[in-house]
Amino acid sequence: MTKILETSQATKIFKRRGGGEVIAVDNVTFSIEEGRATTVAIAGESGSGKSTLSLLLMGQHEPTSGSVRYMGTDLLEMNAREKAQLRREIQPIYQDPYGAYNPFYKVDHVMEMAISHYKLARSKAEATELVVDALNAVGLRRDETLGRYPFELSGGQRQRLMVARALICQPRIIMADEPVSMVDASLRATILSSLQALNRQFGISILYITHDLTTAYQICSNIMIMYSGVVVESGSVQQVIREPKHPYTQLLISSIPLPDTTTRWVSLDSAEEDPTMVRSSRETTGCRFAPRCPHALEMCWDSTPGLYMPDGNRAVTCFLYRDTPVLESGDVSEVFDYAS
Amino acid sequence: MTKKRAKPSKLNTELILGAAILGAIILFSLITPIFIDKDDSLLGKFPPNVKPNSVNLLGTDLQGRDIFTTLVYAAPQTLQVGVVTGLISLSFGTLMGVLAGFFPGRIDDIVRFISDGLVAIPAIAFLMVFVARMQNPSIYVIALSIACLTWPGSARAIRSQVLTLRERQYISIARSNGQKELEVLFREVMPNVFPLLLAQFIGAVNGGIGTAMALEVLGLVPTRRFLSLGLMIFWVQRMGGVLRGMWYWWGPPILLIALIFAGLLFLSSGMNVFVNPRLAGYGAAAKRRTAARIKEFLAARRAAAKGMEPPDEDAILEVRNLNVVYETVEGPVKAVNDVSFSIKPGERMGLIGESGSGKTTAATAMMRLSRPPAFITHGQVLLEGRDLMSIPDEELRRLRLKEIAMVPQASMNALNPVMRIGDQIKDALIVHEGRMSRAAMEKRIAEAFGMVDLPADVGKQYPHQLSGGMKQRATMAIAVALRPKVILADEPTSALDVVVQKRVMMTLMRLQRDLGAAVMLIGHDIGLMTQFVDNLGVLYAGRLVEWAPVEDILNDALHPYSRMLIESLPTLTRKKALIGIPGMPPQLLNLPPGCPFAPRCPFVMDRCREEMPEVQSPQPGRQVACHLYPSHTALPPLPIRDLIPEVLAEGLVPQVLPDAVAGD
Repeated sequence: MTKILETSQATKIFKRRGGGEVIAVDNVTFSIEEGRATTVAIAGESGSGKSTLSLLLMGQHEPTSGSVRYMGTDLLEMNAREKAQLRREIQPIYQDPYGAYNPFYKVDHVMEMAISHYKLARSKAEATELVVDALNAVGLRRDETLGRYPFELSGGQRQRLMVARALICQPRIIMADEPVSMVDASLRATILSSLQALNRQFGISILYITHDLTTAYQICSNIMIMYSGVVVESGSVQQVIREPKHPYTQLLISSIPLPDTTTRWVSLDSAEEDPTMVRSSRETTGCRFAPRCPHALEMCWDSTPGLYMPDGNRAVTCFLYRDTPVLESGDVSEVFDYAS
Repeated sequence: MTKKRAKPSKLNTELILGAAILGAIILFSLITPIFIDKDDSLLGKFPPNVKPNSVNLLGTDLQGRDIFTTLVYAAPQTLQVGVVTGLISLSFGTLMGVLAGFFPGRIDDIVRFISDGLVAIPAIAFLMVFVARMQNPSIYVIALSIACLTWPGSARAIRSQVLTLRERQYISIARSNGQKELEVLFREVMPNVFPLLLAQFIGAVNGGIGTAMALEVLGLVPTRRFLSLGLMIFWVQRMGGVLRGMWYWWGPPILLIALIFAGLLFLSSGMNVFVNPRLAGYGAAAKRRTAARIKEFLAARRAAAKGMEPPDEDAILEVRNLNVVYETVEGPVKAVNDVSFSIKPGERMGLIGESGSGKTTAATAMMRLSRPPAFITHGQVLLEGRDLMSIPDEELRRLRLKEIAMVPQASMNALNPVMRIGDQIKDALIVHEGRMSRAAMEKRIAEAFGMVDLPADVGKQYPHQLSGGMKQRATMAIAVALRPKVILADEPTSALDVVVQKRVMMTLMRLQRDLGAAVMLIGHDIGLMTQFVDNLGVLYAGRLVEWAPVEDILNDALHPYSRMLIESLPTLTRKKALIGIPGMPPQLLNLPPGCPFAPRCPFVMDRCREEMPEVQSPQPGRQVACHLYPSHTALPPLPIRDLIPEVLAEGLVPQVLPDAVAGD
């Protein structure tokens, strides 16, 4: 099966000013395959490397080691035509629905530009039809949106217009980087549904980069949890979110404030009882999570865990599961669930 | 449906005045030549030094020229030098600035090297040497020489503007749309540089006139090709016109020069509003009006407080009919509209709302910390019976921190960056409790840090040395150092990751329990509210639409908005169709009569569009502002089918892009 987009042991190291370095993305291998359109969440907290990974995937950063390939060609060896193709077929949706529009133009501008540059319509009427169809696909009405300036629309409308714009470009992959984190809660649901609709109806793969596991759970089939540049757990959202195996995933999920009065937090009398605190100041050369891990073993401090497959559609980078089969290829998308 | 918002008019007095002055000068020099003879400005046409009379309106100079005629021909040429210099300097500056800003790296380095070099050259001194050696130069040669030295100024301003614009997200979007670099530059970047170009042009004209005039007055422009105001002054000075008391010779050109500069000054400060829109409405007169309004509202609140009902004995904090209005250019905006609720001692209350619902405005007003353009028009906030809205400033200052404290949003900005954390707490302690011994102070500071789970040595550090979570705790430590009875926490964790958020919230929880303080948590996250608060108030468009115990709101909200907000939340328990709230968030300006939620409400009735629903209590311990009550006892089920946009419902979408489905 051909791979549309793949990373192979991709690593990105940033040099710190004044010495030292930060490993933003550490040895990540995964792929999106032709004919297996999926919705994948790349989730983690700030500094986990999720955004750096997305920039590597779009060719906006060069990996320090390892490679990123699109349709089999290394992003670093692409000619101008291939670069143009990559640019069109992986479409971004950014976090800020205000900054995505040039304040000088009406919102129609972004659609017109896409259509004229990718030569998608032969006539004005055909172009209008394309725009209207795309608006329909994201649940927007033409008379409520077109012909207006960005400031006249709500954040939700603007963000859905961005989804429509991406759709017009006929991409294979949509890279949505925190598309709802700057939008009010009441408007988020429709944006997320429109992304989901694009995957189901047009077979476009969605990479959803987020810190919010609840939205990831709702709209994605698969998820990669990142911590400190490493994919610590990966697999179907049903398994990873409902029964997390990696201690970090467990911590993350238990920290989410749920709108459910039966699982309320209780106040603790001392910081020692707090499961979210850092436990050790010991330096680790092995698992990055060891200093915060309640289950850290001696081996965690000096050797790096591989990917283990304790059950079904899931891989975990953790020695607690060292007795289970090893994912030899290191390709975390191998455990993805493509059925749901 | 959205109504088109009118952009506020940017025409201002300065702009009009500047344009009028310069327009008048230009018009004058265009029309007057029709009525006079140019030859009158030739040397020796008239007898020298004639006082003003009916033939020579402004007399003649020592060389026998008619001063009025000379003036009429000199003024436009002075302007011309300026405009031509401005054009050349700006064109060159724009070219260089745009190149340097848009193409970083080598080009930027070269441009910056040249422009920094030119800035280091003293322009006047260089021009003195350079221009003085020319043989009878024309206006254009002079303009070009000046522009060669002045372009780096505009180049720098434009470069930095382009540099910021280049990083905007719409630039990335344009690239994803297949636009090439040069097209991105011209189509996306340049239109937004235009206002700056206008302002820079005025500046360049001003500089051009100034520099040319300096050279002319010094007699360094050896030319007979043109006349100018500067050259007139040169001859006055050369021939002792001032000493001879010939006011009609030196007076008019100086007056005209002053007018030109005044016109340019007005124009550029008027233009500032385009480049820097925030400056609008910050004049001295506006400030006076503002101060008067604050006094007026305070007096009205004091008068109202005299006849108020007795305070509720059970409540520690009681908010009654709080109203806050933002005065904007487009009219008043009711940000907080008749909000009332009360908090019992030791209670944890939440105030939830989306952006623009007025939650932060309300909290700020409760501390009487509202700053213009926000005004507390009326209402009472009773802290143990004392009305914070009408007590004298001095008394209010004593109560803040000691009795009622606020943990502000974005803690990183709330701390003083150049002061150690410990000293910031010390300041608060000294203000409220006076001086105390060093040991006592140390103890109090350590105690404050202990309350928020921070090690005591954090006191010796500066804010930038702390992580986000620690800064948030430090802000809390300041707020609770005086053991207040009421704490208002405005989105204390909005900038933090979930794991850190949980720790900070648990700290706040323990603190609240230990101090026995009442906490009002302001936020937008229902999950966080559920974990923390007992009672929850829901704000929509500045109205408190529902108030109830948090489990009641979660399980059976009475207001359609609260219910729909809860329905729209993604959860971790089951996958479900995500249903958003249709329509636009309310535009607070020109809010239509009736319920602000009516345009988005699935249960809307005619009455809702006409009449603002009053707060009522259909169940004990609960409040709701909705016309469904009291005829209903609970909210009817949501018509969920109608709420999913038709096109998003499965199977109904037209297959617009068959290619993308089939793949290659």
